[in-house]
Amino acid sequence: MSTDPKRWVAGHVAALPKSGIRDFFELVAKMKGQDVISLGVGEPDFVTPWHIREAAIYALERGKTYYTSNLGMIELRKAIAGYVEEHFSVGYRPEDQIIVTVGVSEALDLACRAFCNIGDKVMFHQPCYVSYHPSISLVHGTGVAVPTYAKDNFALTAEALRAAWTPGCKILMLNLPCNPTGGTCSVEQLEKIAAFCREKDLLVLSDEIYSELSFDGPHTSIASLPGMAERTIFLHGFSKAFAMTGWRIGYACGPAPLIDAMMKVHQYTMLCASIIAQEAALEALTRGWDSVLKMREQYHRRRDLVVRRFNEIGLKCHSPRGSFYAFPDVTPTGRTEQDFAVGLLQEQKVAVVPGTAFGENGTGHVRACFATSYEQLIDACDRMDRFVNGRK
Amino acid sequence: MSSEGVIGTDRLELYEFGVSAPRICAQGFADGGRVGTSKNKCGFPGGFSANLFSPMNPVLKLLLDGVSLSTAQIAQVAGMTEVEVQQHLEQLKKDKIFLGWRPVLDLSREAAAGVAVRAVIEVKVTPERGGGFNRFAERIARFDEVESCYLMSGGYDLLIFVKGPSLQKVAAFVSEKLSTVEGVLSTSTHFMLRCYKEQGFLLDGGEAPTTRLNVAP
Repeated sequence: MSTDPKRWVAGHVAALPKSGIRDFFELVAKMKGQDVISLGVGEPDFVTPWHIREAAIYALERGKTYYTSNLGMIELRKAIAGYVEEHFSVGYRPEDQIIVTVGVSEALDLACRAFCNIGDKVMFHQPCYVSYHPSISLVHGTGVAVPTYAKDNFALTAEALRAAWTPGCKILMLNLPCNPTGGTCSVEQLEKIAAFCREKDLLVLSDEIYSELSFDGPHTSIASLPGMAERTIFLHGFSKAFAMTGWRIGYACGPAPLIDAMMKVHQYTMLCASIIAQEAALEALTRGWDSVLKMREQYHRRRDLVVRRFNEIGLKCHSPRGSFYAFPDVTPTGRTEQDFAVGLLQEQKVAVVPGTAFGENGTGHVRACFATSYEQLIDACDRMDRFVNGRK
Repeated sequence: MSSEGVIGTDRLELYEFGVSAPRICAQGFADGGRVGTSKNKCGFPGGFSANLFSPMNPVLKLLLDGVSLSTAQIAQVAGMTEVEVQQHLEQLKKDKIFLGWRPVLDLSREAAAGVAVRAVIEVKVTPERGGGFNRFAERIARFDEVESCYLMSGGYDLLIFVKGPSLQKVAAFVSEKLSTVEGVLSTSTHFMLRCYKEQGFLLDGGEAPTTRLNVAP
């Protein structure tokens, strides 16, 4: 009989590939103590605004240490309803159409578990956030990657969607603006995608975590388009806009029967999101908008800086319309994304993430996060210039 | 260091160390700054229009944000040449919006202790026919000991921030100079005991060093 502990690991988990991000994390970790500038992060450099932290401390002082309703505190759900209505032009009932989750990651997992049968096909655009495909695999679904391209600024097109579609596709995952590409869709593109979803009766899981960080015009939620709210789970959270990654707080909005299905999974697995994080989130929605605007403005200027510098250096880089990621093409250097990232780290001590960590369509690109101070960004660009062009 | 004079390399160097803050005349915005509303839909109609003072000189914007950048770095961030940044700064000075640089110091530290005594003084004066409070304020403001001087609403008229090398020197200024100005009815002096935040800089700690992961999804 085998004594290998791995014999107890479920087959579909054993089959999950290790995250490419993890490999790179370990490589960077080995360089501890060296002067590494990391553009490999996936979160804001800002600390959560003080008034939000203070609200959480106050909540603790008042003894807010209990479970909340499975769906989340009603006060928070009401605030979410108001926020989503105001900023995304979609109305949801706080009582039964909103569920507060442990980050958008949990909301996405709940949606996969609640809506995906074994073998159901789930479409997602790629390059994409690292957990999308594994989330599908974990519920025994079949992932169908839809490529996005640099020539389209990594916007998802209805044409690519149609080309990738096969019978049995049930769900479409969207992440606009997108991690890692910063790509997003124009209203016209979104309308075509919406029409396709209606035609093929697709359920849409729309992760709009970066929506507040849209730089070139207003963000439009697919849920706000005609006939879409009833087939869309709107996923959002506080991590990026309010610089609250470590609080792990997000939410999902959608038709009541669908939210109820997600709640069933949530109540047996998570029970509820942390009450402290919920209190902080309530404060964020109530008084945090000015902080969001200040941070967005910083990201906007940083984006303009790094995109200009990358192009000057010779790395073709589209201007990401949202998020805090640039996704330059490194093939003009004659290197693969992996060689480029490893070489840049070893020679110039700048960490970026190889694009293939976000799926095969990230080939030839690296992700550079610009949620870092101007000084660091300028220094990192200077180092990249030396790496690419050999200047001293 | 004087707050007057031309922007020179020395002041920029100070700024590079992260200890100085630009002195900007708030009244300078009265004409040029358009106060916009910050609450809008999730997107916004282009550029940085959601700012309080928008549209704004990009160099001034960076200075106001308290970002410690050299002129070369400002040039990169604002997407201009260093010469253009210098021109912007000169223009701001000409317009009397940007008044000069001053270092922000933690006065409890030994090295900065030479200017360690600070006080705020509430002053009541009798306004003059014709001149109102202006003549008093301008006269009082000219004393070297006075760092800042404001006309206030409420229970007193002028609020002045005074700095001196010792308690005695500040007390002497109040009793011999300030209170003897004709028209001054009363003064109420409050010595500052401890500073917790100076010009936006937290003293004693502030945020803990970042524990952000170097690589994350």
